[in-house]
Amino acid sequence: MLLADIEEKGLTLTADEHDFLIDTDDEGEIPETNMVFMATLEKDDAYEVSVEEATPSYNTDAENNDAFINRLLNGDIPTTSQVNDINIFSITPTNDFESRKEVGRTDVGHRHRTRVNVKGDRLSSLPDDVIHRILSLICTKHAIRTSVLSSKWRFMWTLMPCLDFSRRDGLTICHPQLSNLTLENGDWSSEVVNVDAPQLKNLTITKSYGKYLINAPQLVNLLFKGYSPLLYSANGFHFLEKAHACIYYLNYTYAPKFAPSVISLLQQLCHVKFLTLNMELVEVVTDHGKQHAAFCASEQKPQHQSPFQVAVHGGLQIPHLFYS
Amino acid sequence: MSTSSSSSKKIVLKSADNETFEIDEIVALESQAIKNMIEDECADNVIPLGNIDSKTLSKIIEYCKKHAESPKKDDNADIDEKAVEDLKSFDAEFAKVDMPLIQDILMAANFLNIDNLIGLMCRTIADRIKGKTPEEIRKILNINKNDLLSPEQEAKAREENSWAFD
Repeated sequence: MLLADIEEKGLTLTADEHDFLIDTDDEGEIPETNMVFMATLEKDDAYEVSVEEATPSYNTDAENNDAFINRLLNGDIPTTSQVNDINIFSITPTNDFESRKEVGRTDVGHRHRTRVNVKGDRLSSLPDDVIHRILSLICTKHAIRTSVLSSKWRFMWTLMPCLDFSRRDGLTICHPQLSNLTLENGDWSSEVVNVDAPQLKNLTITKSYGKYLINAPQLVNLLFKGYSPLLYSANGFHFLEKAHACIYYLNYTYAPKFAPSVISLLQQLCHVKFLTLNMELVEVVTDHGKQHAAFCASEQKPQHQSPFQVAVHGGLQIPHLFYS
Repeated sequence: MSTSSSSSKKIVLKSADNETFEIDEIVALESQAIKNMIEDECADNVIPLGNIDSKTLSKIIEYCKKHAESPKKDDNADIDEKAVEDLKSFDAEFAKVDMPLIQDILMAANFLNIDNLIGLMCRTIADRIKGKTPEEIRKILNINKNDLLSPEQEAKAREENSWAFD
């Protein structure tokens, strides 16, 4: 009868898994939780349909209550009812979901039946890995756009295990929870890539041409491979355990230009426990060290004590240094 | 593989609205969750699925039947191309349902741990929201109006990653 009314209006009824009934005894204890599917209106305008005709049958009269409960149990009730404690409210379907109408209290023996409706789009109640699976199928840019969908979606994208950026003119990655970041093929030659990720633990930058300004004080592992040594930390890497730096094609044409940057890069890695450098990098430092030493000697000035004055002193100051 | 319906073992699934579905065990095994139950011998005659309604369950059984009948990819490297194509077109047809049902199927598939089906539903949802504006996506996913960000919050969210909204 009521269902027929709804169907007549061209609406479909399906169950909503956010609706379930909780049985409570007189003390308000929950002897069992009983998941029961309730029919709710599913279409966009579902909540605008008036089902007020339904309410008169929900009175407190015992016989009607039984019928009512049976209907609930059969999932056969076309309202988005919501019950607080032992009172049944029938939400008069409206846009704002808020206007409620108390329609009575139901007793089933010594039990009170409570209906709870967990609001929200059902997708965001899925486990994170399923959401990530969906978001990973759309590009990162569009995944980030989901941050404006609703409060539940606000930081959903930030939990994705893998982000893929493809942009050619600079980028700022500002991400409070990010723990792993991989930047590949970064041809940001004209602009700076800013990474501001206080929780970042692992940073991998490969095939890089660009400049990086990194604020990641918690960084533990750094892998930096590329064609220019332009990586700067905003607040140092105090917890760095492993760093692997490979800068290619730093032949002698580029070496004078890049030498200060290489030294600056190595200085930023001064807290690292395990460092791997490629030979070219070491050669730049060596060559620069020689020139610097020669310069200092000619000027009769005391030498600048870089921790990486490999060539000058013929020894390394950092424990566990490997060449690759 | 052939499934002789008379001799093979049957599994009965019961939906939230108390509808029962008798299916071949081989079909039920598509669900990792049910497979585990059967292997641990804790599946009685009837497996109650109190959070899946009959409409969703019948769709899921339809999917599992088809996939149970099709040769598995890892069974044989040279499975015939036609079967693969057939399964692909079945999946494409299967996904042509409205969004609430897709979400129901996804929830249920996640509960029953049917990985292929989760993947199919995720792809379907991703395809439908791909390239859409936030406003359109809200409509597609039926996002509750109460959960919307305030204009200030939305402006802040857009500003944080303004490049993504270009």
